[in-house]
Amino acid sequence: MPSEAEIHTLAVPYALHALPDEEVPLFEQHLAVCESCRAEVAEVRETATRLGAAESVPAPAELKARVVERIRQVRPLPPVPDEVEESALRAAGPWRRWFPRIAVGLAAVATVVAAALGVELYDTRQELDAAHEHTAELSHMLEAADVQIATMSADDFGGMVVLSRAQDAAMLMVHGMDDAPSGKVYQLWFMDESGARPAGFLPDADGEMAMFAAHGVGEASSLGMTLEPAGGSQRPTSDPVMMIDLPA
Amino acid sequence: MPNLRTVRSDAPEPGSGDALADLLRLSARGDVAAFEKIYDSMAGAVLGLAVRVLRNHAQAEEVAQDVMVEVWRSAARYAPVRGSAKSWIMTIAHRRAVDRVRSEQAATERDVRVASSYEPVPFDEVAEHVETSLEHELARRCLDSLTELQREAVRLAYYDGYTYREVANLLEAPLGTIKTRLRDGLIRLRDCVGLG
Repeated sequence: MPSEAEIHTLAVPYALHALPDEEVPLFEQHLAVCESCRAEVAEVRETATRLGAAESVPAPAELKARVVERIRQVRPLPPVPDEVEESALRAAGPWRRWFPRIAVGLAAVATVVAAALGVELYDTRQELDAAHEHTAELSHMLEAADVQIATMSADDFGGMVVLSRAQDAAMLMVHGMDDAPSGKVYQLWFMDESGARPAGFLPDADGEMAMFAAHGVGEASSLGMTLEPAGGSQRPTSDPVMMIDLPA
Repeated sequence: MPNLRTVRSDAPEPGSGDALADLLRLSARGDVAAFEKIYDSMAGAVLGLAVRVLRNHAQAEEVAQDVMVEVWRSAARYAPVRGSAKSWIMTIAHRRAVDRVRSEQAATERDVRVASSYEPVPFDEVAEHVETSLEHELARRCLDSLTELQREAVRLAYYDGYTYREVANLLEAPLGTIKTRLRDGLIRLRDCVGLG
């Protein structure tokens, strides 16, 4: 098993399609949780595109005729893979009032959430970049074959988790929650039979949508959130304010 | 819908990239005229890359045809946050060409293909065009600016479709060295072609 640092060094070969097939799945798993690797892959591909385009040759006219002939018999795909769209639609029910666009076909949850965040909640450049980062990660997760969505709602707030066990990642979106009181934080926990593992902290969002990406889901059966002293705790010290069951 | 693309600081190739992205959006809805514009601007690059990787014009045309049909089929899957439209299309083209060259390799010995690669390739009629292309000249100059090991690693991996393990064998260098040379080479190329 290659180390974390070794896996990073596969970004360039991956971007150039120079990874042997058997090494691709391992790297793609890593890619799912490595924003800097995704950025490097994209950057390498932009550069490689220049190398490729430099090889341009005139294309024969018959080629265009053949291509146009063929595409007339091919239906363009919808924006996200069908199975993702359907499972997301089934699970997204109560969320539609938050994201009206989801109701019109769920073009891509990622795009909609990011658009909503980018425009309504974030106004500084830095925060836009943060939303942007989540968008890339979320859309990557939505492409996972095993993507699942779980939701919970309380009187005044709700939460949604996009989960991929294969990518070992979960994206939590919480809406309508007041910021933690001064000196406290909302801490997230992966819960399973053996107890609670710290999963990170929910960013303040002032009652609007807060997004949080958690990695290392493992065998967790639920995601919980408790109010903890600033800096967080090793294990929960108060009753959960929110629990979302994670699909197996 | 609000468009997050506008906040990108590193938006590649302003102009052509964006226009292509707009055309892809139209194409995804079944707009054949929009697709034809995509074809007109990209077919030469797609075919040229396939010719370079496959060294066989007939096979390259088959690959280019498949690539352009794939672009039509998958246009809605293009995500601007992950890069320029041009890069998306050229990545599909490179993937397809490399897949083809590796499946050919499965049928023939790689050594045979390398030996036969010194046969004249049938793009003589366009050689003059290629030689005078500014983009080609820039890429050649940038490749020349690399160290020999960087240049050979990039050439074998990108233009010839070898895996980095095969590149290491061919250049008789350790895997770690090849990965480093590839990465350093790409960074220098990025800066040289003006993407840095």
